[in-house]
Amino acid sequence: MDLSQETDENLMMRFGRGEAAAFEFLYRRHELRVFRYLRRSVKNEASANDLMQEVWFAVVRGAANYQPTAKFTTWLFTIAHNRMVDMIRVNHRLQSLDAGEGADAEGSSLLDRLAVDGKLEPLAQVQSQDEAAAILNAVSQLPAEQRSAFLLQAEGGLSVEEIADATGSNFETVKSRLRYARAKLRQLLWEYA
Amino acid sequence: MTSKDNAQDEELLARYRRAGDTDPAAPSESVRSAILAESRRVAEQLAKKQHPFDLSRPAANDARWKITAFGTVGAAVLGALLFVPRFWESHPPAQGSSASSIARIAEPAAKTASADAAAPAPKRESISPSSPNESLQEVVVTQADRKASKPSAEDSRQYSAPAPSNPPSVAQNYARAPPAASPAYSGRAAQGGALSMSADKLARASLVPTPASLQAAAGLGDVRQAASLLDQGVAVDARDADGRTPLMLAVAQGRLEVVRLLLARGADPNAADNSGRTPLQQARAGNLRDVAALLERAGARQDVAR
Repeated sequence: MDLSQETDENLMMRFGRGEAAAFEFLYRRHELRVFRYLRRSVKNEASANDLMQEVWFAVVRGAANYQPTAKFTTWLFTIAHNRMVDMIRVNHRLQSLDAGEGADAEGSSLLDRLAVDGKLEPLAQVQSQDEAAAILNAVSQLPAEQRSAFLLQAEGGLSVEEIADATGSNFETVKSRLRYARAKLRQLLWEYA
Repeated sequence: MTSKDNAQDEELLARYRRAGDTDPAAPSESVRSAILAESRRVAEQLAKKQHPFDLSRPAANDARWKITAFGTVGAAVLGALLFVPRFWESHPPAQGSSASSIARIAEPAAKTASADAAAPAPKRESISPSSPNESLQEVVVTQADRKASKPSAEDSRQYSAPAPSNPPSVAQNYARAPPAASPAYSGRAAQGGALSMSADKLARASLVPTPASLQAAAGLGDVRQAASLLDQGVAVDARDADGRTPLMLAVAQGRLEVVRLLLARGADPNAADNSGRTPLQQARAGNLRDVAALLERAGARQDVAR
């Protein structure tokens, strides 16, 4: 059977039976989406590459026990998110953890809320770039939890419920993060609309 | 959330995805290679787990059972080669087996008999009484030739004669002669004769070499037994309680062949028993002319008195 017609779950099952070609096809299918999620989450090329290897090694080594109880992408981006959070924790670079008292339950700090209000400078930076660069730049300026939730939705195609499972948050919190993230992006990109 | 908000959200995601497609961000080639290499390694392990015998490498799998099987067979063969000879040494075949004994004894005799079958018939001893003089000469020649290897003073008497170029052996001398009119018998003689000769040898070997045995053989006319006993060292003139020698007993019974044998072996033709009677007197009293002539040719005298 043509591997391109196989679902992610079937490809993973076939790899669990020893078909290396099935994994290669699966990897090619999700490679860039996972990497973009990691790259835009940690904002560092080298760290993204390290995380990329860790994530896919975890997928490979978990193939023997893989059971398709959920979408493969949910499982894949859950691994990616957890690895990313672990790295940021170690490096003390997760802004929400560093924000301390300044962050609310949605991970939105006072500074973020001000940005949404359109009172900050990033808009001036966006104006000097083309639309694609502006969008990516705007995403990079989102608070970590909001950015992560938005990227899981945009890159991984996860639903709110799946994002909640992947990030270990409750449904309403994820929904709120996504709402804030979209509002801020619209604010940042209004000139390109 | 209104439908307008939903549309704006979808439009925002679409714009982001279009922007993402233009983003050249991609994992480094080294990371990609490492991931795919790891996947191949794990896939190989998973495949082996699925198939304990790696079907993609049948030769490698075959080698496992082949080594085991051939190793076991080889060890068994080696063990057999090492231990079976020792077993046979400690448990040899029964020595009393008549077949094996006869076969061992018959082997050289069979060669001799085969040689006899191929050899010209005149070389064989004739015991026919129709030509006593020739027979006596043949026996004398044979015995003289035999004793030539261990000469003694007694052997240097008138029995000496030119030795044949191929002196017959004892087995040849006393083997049963096949009927001259039956050429087909010579083939059987080569085999059956050899076997009977072996049996005779065996019987002779079981004889007790005593003077009484020689006297009995002489009286019964058993030339072969008498010759065998003489070969084993029994005195040719051993006397019984009445002072009779084997020659006297053979003459008394008219055993011409035995008389010829005993004379050839050096029996005293003038020995007398306790009553003073000699073999020649016995022969003449019994009107045994052939025997008397044989004795006279051997030196027997009528006027002997002891």
